[in-house]
Amino acid sequence: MPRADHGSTGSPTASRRRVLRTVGATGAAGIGLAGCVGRGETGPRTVEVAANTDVKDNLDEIQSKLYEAGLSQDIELDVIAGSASTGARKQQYNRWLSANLETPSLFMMDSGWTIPFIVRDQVANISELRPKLAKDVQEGVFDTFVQSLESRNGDLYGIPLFPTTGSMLYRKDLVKEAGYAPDEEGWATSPLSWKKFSEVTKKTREKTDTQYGYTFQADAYEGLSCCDFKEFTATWGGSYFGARENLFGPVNDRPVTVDSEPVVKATRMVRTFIDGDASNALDSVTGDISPRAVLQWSEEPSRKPFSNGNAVMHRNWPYAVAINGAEDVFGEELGLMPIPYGVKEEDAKFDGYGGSMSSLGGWHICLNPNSPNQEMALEIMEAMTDEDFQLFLFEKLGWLPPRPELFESDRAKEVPVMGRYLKTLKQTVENSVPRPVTVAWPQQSTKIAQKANASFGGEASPKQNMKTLQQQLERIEEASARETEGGQ
Amino acid sequence: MAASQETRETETTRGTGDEEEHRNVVQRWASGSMNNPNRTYRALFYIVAISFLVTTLFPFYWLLMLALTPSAKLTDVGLLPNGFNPEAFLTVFTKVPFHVYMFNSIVIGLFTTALVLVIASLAGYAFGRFEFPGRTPLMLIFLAISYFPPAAFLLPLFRLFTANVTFFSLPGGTTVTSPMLFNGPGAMALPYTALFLPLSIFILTTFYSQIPDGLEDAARVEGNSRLGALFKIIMPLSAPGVATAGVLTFIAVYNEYFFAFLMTDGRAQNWSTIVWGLLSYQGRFETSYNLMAAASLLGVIPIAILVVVAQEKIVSGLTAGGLKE
Amino acid sequence: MSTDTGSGRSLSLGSPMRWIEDLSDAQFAYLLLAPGLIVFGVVAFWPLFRTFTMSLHADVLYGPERLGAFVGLQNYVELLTGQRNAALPRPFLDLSEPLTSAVTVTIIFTVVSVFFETLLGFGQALVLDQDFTGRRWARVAIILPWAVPIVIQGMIFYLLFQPTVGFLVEPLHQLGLISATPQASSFDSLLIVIVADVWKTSAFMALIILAGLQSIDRSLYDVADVSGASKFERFRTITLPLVLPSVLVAMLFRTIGAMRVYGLIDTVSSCSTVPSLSCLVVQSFSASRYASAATVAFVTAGLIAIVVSVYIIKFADVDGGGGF
Repeated sequence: MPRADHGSTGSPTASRRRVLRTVGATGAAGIGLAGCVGRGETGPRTVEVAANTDVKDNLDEIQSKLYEAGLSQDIELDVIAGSASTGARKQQYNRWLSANLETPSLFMMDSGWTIPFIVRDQVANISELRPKLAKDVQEGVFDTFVQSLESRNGDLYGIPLFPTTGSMLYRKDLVKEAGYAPDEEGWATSPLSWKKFSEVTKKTREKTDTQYGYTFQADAYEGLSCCDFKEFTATWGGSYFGARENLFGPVNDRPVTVDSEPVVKATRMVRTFIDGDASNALDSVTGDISPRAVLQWSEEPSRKPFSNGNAVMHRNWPYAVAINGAEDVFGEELGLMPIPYGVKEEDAKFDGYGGSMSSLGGWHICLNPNSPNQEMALEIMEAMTDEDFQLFLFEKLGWLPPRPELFESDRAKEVPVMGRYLKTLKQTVENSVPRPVTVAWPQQSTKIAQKANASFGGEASPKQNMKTLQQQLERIEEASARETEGGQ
Repeated sequence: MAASQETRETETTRGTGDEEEHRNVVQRWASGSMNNPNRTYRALFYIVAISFLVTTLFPFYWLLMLALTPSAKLTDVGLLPNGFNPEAFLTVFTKVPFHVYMFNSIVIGLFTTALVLVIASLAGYAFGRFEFPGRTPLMLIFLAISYFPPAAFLLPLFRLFTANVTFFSLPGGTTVTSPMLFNGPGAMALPYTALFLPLSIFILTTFYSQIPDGLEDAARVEGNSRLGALFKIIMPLSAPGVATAGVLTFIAVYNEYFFAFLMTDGRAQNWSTIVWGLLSYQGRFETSYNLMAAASLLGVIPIAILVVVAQEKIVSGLTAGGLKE
Repeated sequence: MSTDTGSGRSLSLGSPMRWIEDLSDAQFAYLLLAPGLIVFGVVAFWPLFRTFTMSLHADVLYGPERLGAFVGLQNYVELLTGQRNAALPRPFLDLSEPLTSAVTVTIIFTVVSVFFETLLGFGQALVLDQDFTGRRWARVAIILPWAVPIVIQGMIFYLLFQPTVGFLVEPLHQLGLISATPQASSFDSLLIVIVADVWKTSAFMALIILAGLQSIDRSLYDVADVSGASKFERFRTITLPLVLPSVLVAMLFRTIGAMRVYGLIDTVSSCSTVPSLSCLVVQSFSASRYASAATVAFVTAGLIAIVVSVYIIKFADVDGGGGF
């Protein structure tokens, strides 16, 4: 049977050669052409910054404000806008810094994962390079926030950029319609109890016929373990690792307390919110105030129903306040209050917890130790600590200032939308708890999120799930301790 | 042949003819089908064919619906768009320089394909037409490369392509390190070459092994050198195989996810491919799924054209190459 | 072709050409293989060797070093006996949770996926083998999914099953096939990933099997028709045996590919929900457990090698695709 077809396509030699040549030539030409079309050459006084789309979109203004804050006019910034997913950015920076890449010089790092980089010596020690700057920063910035930038011996490894905390957004108009008086009762600074909160939500939802009561993030992702679940448990006086001083370790030398009574209670509470008739329901709160869909919601999916007017209460970060407080959404009818509490601070089981608590997030700016532009980069970092610059970021991007005193300033109060909520926001930052970031945290976070999500959804009882989680976390602690792994 | 078949069929019908009047429409159709199986097969064929087409093309259709939906109405996108916004197909280029990403993908694809074809032709010729010690073990080793997840190659390659590997030191004190290919086409083209060579070698080996023996000897008798015989006589005969291997390699490179994501920093001017292009539609708070869908459809177009043009060639190439004895 | 006398030409060759002429067959073959060997050497063998060396050291979580002391095969032992499970983001093999341990998830995915894509691909190839108007376009349509980049394929199915954007969650939930929150469930997510994979790869199978079908001599079918064989018998005795080699080759390549699945899982769901073996490697790298990651990578390759040799040994008697 004939195999290769000789005749039909004309001379096979010529056509074959033609194909190869064309392919090769196009490829080579493409590369050559692209090389000639100067692909992104940066000048000698350019500092590359790995940040996000916010910074990239507003680079011109940011740069001019930095000049006003004292940055030399000949230094320019160039922004690499990374993935929107914070986890993906972390992995990307880890790859780059492990490979000793010289650019970018500055990295915008999530406060939730800066510590692993510090532990691995992948970011520069600011306390050594600019001792005075470091000292000023450590004294002027919120204590809880600067903790996530320090090494075990107290050295500072970057400049805090802006903190974020969880707070409770609510519809003032709906709540008033249901007969409550949020302003008179001072909800903005006096946290409600979960008991009252759930009552209010249910009643408001019924009276105003709103689709959802309380929307929050309960998808099995980092955001659940670091933040939403941490808030639920902390407000009941519970924690993952016992007293607050154990947050950052030492790994395997601290108790694991997820099966403690307050944690189980908090889990039962959330289960009750979703399904009031659950077998493990918590009697002290009103149930059926959250849709089952929260089990699949992260920040944005949970915000949308609230912004569309279909929810009464919503837990989220400050960016959601900026969106929902805008004139064309709810304007002044957006209320903000601290996260409700389960037990008071003095009654909390673990030291440092209880009362209204928020999870602390936020971002820092860190320096690449391999950067040849260290001096210029340090100048930029110093300019970023300028008061006016930080207030500009608050105005423009809704980024909370890292310094408590700036919350009291007049200029802050004049900022549209965000300026209305300064008291609540400051309070939430003061009562915030950072996430327990250690080398073991990424794995522990996944397990906690899985078990919390499973408990909320009714797969096995909260008590059982927390018991299993306890064992899982203990095993991870063992596997991540400093002394193991073949003598390091 | 056909006649005898018909005779047999009419014999059967005659036997049951008397009962026909007593049956209703369905029974009549059923018996008609039984007596004329071709009709049933025909109907069945069309049903099956159309269901295949629907399941295969539906995701593309849905992507189109998604692309045409305006950003504000991006919930519950069903069979018809909630609104009509064809500007999305233009916005994709203004929001993100998607054309640059596509250009990068195509160029890297062509470059890798050229490289793979050259190397695989030589290797396929060697494997296909020579018996030499170590032939089978070598082929198995080449195949074994594909057993490893791409992640297994990542760390050393990443260090290699970011100038972190020192080869040796020269007496003057300078060191010779590996090149800095990160953010360049080489950082992707080289791993791709290694990843996709096994398949192309396999295809071309098959082709070459089926060219009749003795052609080289005839060519050499006529005065051609070994290489001359190879290039002038043998290679042209493998044109269908080369086309097949080329198209499959290009498709594989264009579609690749892992190295495309890791070997650049994501900016279009740094040779990032459409993987990054699509990811950059993730905005400040939400992802513009409609724009991503529009960009996806545009991104599939070059390959779709390639498939339309080359599908005849691929199939005949694989056929002629002998996926048989 | 040239009609010059041979000897005159060969005398005018330069010395490198001369040298090539004087090589034996084996040496010439290796010369031709040299470019391939160089590329593989630098881009494949060297990295794999380095990765293997990594797997012989210990993980290091603290300090600037990335690899710990030399521990020989301890990583492999601990991984295969389950002692390493706590250090990994998801267990390597834990029979008590089959849907969230890497080996079981990978095997389930591979078996189910390859089974359905072979079935569907075969069906599609049979359809395309027939002669009908518009066959050319039907062919394009059916092969098109193969041409879709993984990132787009992933996005399509991610969105289709995203409760707010897509529309498939509601009806399928009503039918009781999936839960209301498929992304939260490992089982549902695995199902969605399989569907996404089958959609795309059945096109590849269709392509290969179609080629096999097209190479079957039509006169054999005519003989079958004459002897009165039914369509089914014709399929069973002629089509199936002759096309089996192509099917097996396609299945082999697809099995290797399926066992290495990563990009699709990352785009459709996430590596935490559907942990395949490659997912485990990538996640361990991200957690800076380089040695563990390298170990899992090599164990994965080992598992694939075992599966491939089963294919080769068991089906070697069926004359398979040329070259071996």
